[in-house]
Amino acid sequence: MHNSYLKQFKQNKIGMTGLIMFLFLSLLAIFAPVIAPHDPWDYSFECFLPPSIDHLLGTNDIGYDIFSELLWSLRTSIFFGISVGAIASTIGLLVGVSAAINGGLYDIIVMRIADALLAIPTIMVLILIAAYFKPSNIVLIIALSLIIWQTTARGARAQTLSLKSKLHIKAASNMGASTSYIMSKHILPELFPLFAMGFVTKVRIAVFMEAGLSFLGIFDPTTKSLGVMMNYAMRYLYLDVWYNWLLPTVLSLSMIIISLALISYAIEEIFDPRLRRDNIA
Amino acid sequence: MLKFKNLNVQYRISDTSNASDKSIIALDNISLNVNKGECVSIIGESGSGKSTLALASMKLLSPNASMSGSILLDDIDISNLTDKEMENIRWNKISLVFQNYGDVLNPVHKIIDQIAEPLIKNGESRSVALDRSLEMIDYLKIKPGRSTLFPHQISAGERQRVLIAMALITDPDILVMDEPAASVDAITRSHLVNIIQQQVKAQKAVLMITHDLSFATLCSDRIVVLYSGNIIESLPSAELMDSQEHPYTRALVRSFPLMERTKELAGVRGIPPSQFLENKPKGCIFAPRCTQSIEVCFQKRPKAKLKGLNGQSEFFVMCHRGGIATMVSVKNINKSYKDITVLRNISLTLDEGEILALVGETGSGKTTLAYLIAGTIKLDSGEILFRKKKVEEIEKLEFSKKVGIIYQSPRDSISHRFNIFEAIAEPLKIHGLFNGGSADKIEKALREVQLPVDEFFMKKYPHELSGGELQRVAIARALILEPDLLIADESTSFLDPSVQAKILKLLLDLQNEHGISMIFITHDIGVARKVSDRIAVLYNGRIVENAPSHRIIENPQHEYTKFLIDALRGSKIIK
Repeated sequence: MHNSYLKQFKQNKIGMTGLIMFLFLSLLAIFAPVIAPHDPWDYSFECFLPPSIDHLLGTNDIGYDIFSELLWSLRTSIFFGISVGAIASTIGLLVGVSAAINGGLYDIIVMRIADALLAIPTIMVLILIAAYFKPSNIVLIIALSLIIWQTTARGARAQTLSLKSKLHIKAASNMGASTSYIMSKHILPELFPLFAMGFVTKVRIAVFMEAGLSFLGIFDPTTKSLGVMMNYAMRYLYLDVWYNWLLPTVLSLSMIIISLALISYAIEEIFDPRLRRDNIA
Repeated sequence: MLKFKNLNVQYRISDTSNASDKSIIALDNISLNVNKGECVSIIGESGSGKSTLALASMKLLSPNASMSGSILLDDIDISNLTDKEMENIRWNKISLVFQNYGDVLNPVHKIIDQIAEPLIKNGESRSVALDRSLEMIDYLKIKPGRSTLFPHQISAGERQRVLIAMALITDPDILVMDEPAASVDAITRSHLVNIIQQQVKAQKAVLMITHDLSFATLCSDRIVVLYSGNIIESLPSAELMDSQEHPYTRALVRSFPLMERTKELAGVRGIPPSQFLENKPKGCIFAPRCTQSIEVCFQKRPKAKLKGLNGQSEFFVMCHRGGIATMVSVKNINKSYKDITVLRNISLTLDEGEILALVGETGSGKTTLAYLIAGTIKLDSGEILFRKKKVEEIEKLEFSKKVGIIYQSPRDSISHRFNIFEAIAEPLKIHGLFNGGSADKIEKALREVQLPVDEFFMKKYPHELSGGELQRVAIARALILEPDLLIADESTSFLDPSVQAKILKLLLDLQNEHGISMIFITHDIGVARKVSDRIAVLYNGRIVENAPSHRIIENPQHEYTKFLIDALRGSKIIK
């Protein structure tokens, strides 16, 4: 049952499609420095060159190779997404589990903070931070992580509370098990689905957020980003370069989002039997 | 009167493996008085030296026996008398009812002659002796017409009575009887009780050797428990069944099929000790089989602890711990969850090696009480002592090692993430005891609960096992740390009758073999009576009755207990 999650995922066509897409994009991102035919910061090329063998997607208004730029932007997006996803869901997990286990005042305070964060519009906070402090990529990753952990925390807390009352965990505690033993052997493994789900969702949010912020122009302008590319491409929409500049960018972003959505859909279906398609009731 | 003083008897046996002889201790420093008008019963397992004692009282020990100490018959020390001098005493002052073996009577003499023989030997005329013999045959209710038969023509029970008649015919002051009731039926046995009581009334000193405990309590005033040649307890016969003090005596009583007994019988755990002189232990002779032995038990011989307020010297128990020790004592505890009072002013005790059943309807506070004792929940007031230490003051990790718990549902109590091996290994891992030897330990534990030990089985997950199998795994897990107290919380209530019976039997066997104490929680008094030594009935958070199981079942005192038993019998339907 529990040990067949991986097997079930492998059998899930939607999930596997999403995973293959995401892995493909990630490979492109990881090997961007190798694959990219040109230096993305090299503006010595002629402007607005149409797609050719040398420049697969042509060049842009100031002579950057669009294909190379796209690969490096993917790199930024995916790095940003995975970092935020990992940090935020880990924070969420730790906060949620510790709140459930410790209880008392700590629980109340932490969960009220989570509630408050839920009420704050994330994008506004990020815009404010970005606009005022012009922060680096890393700072933004941390800032975003600190704002979006609460959904995982709430889920983790709820599930830990219900697990805590399970007989096998009480049994372990009666055997003299320490809290850290129960956490690592009994609670965390059970929370893995929740963690996986939270991670994928948060990666998706972060990728979208990064693109959005940079599209609005409040992101570090020196890094290559899908949002920045879209922003510039939009300005030259009248020049009929959208098909080699705007379209590939938008498609890349969509592919990341769609692949992550497919993965999370599959995970949800596997871990929540009520969502199974073959489950008629 | 008959008096043994520091009597030692050893048998020499030749060792075939080497030329030297070995000595077996049959009796070790026995001191015992049998007064006039008193019957003293010696009880013990076979091989404990009972018959040696009987034979020694008549100086009839086999040639390879060596004896030291003294045996006084009315102040005559017979230990130094010659065989010739003994002839005058035997069958005159003292007579012995031999253990009823097939060849103990002479096959070529009629029984009437054999009964008359001691009298004739004492100088009585033949005709008077035969008349007396007929009287004795009548007195012992041997059927008329049997007197002229030969021993092989009468039944074993009748032969037994012939032996008794032989001993009684000379009307001796001292009677020694070796298993007089072993081969007679219950009705004859009650007649024998009558005869023995008459002899006691006639101011005779009777020393009775028996393994029939109820016969011993009926005939005698005092019971002496012999174990491997040592007297380990001497107690009034009225106390034998319910308030014996030595763990060995308790184990003997538990093995005895008393009529009222409801609990399954269990033998004394372990094997009898080696009796070779060279293996003589330094400490208490019973320590290896004892349910409550502590370090000192293996190092020093125990001293007699006198019983009773005025310390009568005839009643005593030989135990370092002063008799059966109390493991858990619960004093006036209260517990409530918010507004709901669960337990009110509960007091009870649990002895070492005892099974206590907590019985009551669901919600009566049974489980709460057990978990309070296990120290997993906190009590509101009162105190719980575990081996004289407050439970809340004992270090949690250390205490959890001493208490094993088996839960109601093994499906819930064993994580679905663990395979069988991991599930049983969990307590070892928690206590940091998991090492190279653990695999063998787990294998042994699985074998004890009668489960397969192959790798395929150990790698199975809980959902692949049946409820009964999984409960066995749970039992193995609860016992892997060798706890002193086992709590079984409705452990069999969800199993079908056949599996339940097997699990109960297994639990009892393991409890007996490990010698641990057990708290058995159940709502089913029918199950409780089969497993427990004592039943405590809980009703509305109070203990309404707490008594030995057979007493509760036979004669319930409280209305609620009566109601529980009637409801289970189906004779009372709630309308």
